[in-house]
Amino acid sequence: MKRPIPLIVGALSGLIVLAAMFIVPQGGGILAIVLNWVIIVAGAALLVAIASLVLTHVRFIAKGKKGFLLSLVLVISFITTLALGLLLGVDRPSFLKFVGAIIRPIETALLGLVALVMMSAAMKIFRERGWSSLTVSFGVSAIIFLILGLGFPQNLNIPVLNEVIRFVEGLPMIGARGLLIGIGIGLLLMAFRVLFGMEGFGND
Amino acid sequence: MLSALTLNDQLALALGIAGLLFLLINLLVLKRNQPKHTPEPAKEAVENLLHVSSEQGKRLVVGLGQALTNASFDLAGASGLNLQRALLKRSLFNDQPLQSYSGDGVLACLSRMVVHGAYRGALASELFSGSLSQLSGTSPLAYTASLVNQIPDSSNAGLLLAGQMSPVILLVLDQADRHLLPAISAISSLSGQAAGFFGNSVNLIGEDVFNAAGKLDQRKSALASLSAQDWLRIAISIGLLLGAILTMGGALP
Amino acid sequence: MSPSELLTLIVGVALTVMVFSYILGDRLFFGIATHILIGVSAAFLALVVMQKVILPYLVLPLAEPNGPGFWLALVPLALSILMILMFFRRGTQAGAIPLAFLGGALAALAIVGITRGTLAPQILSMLGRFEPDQLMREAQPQWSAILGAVMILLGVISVLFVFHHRGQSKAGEVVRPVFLEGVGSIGQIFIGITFGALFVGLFSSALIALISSLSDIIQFIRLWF
Repeated sequence: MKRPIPLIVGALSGLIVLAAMFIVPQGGGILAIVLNWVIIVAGAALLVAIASLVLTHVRFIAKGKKGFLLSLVLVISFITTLALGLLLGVDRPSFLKFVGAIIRPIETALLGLVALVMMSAAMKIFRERGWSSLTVSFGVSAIIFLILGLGFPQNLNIPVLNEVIRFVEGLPMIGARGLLIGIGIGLLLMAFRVLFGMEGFGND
Repeated sequence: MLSALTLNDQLALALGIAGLLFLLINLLVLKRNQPKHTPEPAKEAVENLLHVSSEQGKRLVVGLGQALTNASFDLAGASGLNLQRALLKRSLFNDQPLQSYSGDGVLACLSRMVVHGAYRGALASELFSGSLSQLSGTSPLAYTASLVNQIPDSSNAGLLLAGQMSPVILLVLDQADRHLLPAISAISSLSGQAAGFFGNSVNLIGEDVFNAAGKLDQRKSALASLSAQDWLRIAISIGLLLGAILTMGGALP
Repeated sequence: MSPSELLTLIVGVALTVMVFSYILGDRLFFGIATHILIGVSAAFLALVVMQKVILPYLVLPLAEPNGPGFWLALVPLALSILMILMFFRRGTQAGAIPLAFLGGALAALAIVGITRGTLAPQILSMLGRFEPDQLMREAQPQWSAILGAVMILLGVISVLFVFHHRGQSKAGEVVRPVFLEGVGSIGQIFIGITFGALFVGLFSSALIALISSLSDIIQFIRLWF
């Protein structure tokens, strides 16, 4: 059973934001205040969630749970970064350099791994998903766009071919537009359900 | 006031009002007759995951995504919560409860509330534990990496990715494939849906991502929403065809 | 190369190699590198949120009881306290109000964002292709423009009908009408084309990242040999 107070708070905050967006310029001030509150509360939620994440790993270490070594790594890196940030200041170039020196190589390597994974995934797609209009058009499209990506056909400078290439390059936009409109329709209806308390959102 | 709005805003307003009206009408109509909806493409896969989970006493892992309020405010990031709720209802008293991971602070809090609500609804609040729903990483790559680390656990029965995720999530699907863990992806971003397609998973695309839970648990609001979506789709299609003819004739600005 | 640059390179290469150990099926070194990433990024984000959000928008207005923002800051303070309470076992219910507040505001932003930022612009941009000056030039029909506009229009509609939910009862099963099934199959072709192009785009970006990581390793090896 849904409780009335969160239901009212949710509907009220949503309707105020909606009204403020259409009553211009008077609504601008109200909108700014509500959005300010949203940012603060979202920030508080993030801090609380981060604290919970770290505490969970501290508990893993205390209990000696399987994989606690990795929890130890996480907690040490968290505390070290937090301490350095508090000591040096978040905007200090030396602190940003420290954070960048750790985050950048790991994130770049993870992205690099995606390239390797994609190579094997491409081989498996037809085995896993079978032959359908979706998989065949995917395969043909991937090959064509790989060739176009090399730039070789464009360099031939044949006017008719350039016209064809321009046409082909526009084709992915059709599926993307259709999918985006479809996602938009689904999300719009979900937003209405959230606004009128049919989805739970904090009221489960 | 409307005349002061741009054409884009007028169309946006019309679409918003149409969406709301269609939803309300379908909610009223639903009371009288149940609509006939096509089966959910992932239903069988989800049922299988739940079956394996309860038979083998293993847990389901749900990745809820990494973006609700992190980079921008995007409600699409919360699309996995419905699926989490629907799965929780069916697996509440399994040997190993459903484990959810979020990559966004607000999403982690909402997910915790969903878990708490499920146990409270089943009059088993004492079984609730906050660790069943956790923040696991605060950037798209940190979140992905944390999920990659969770997959090899021998107590996992299956993986469900539902929410807003970057295409890097392909790493998680690859890890699941390596460990023969069945996976379902219902990712709300276009590039994420494409990544779900490249990986070995039962992949939901387009608006199906937002409807999977509704078709699974047959909730009234979700069923009405499905019909409203159909109506809106037809309205947009007719509008596009008519709009094209009127634009050609110079009748539209 | 200065000592700090050398240290950055050594740390970077070590972390890169640890991440790449994933290919060999390693869990320990990959786990260490990624847990460092999780810990560092969480601490960094926590610091940024504290300094850029909580301090200026919540703490500073509350520190000035006579200031203009004091009363307005009390609302997010109360909501934030409720949010903190929800992480205690007995206080989970306390989070219902701040989360409902966030949910309502996010839903409203989504309604405006989707209609104003996605649906309307997409529809108008498609209709824009049918403007007479796009289809005709010097009283001559531009067939490539006409073909392109019609193809986009019909293609998008076919993609939309891939997801039509309503069906008909047939032999005890709910199936989609044959016509919609046909239109949806055409839509699937366009979705496949889009996924193919996205695959190439993502692959190219990932390949650049892979080359960047490998070049760091090569640079490191060259330092010693």
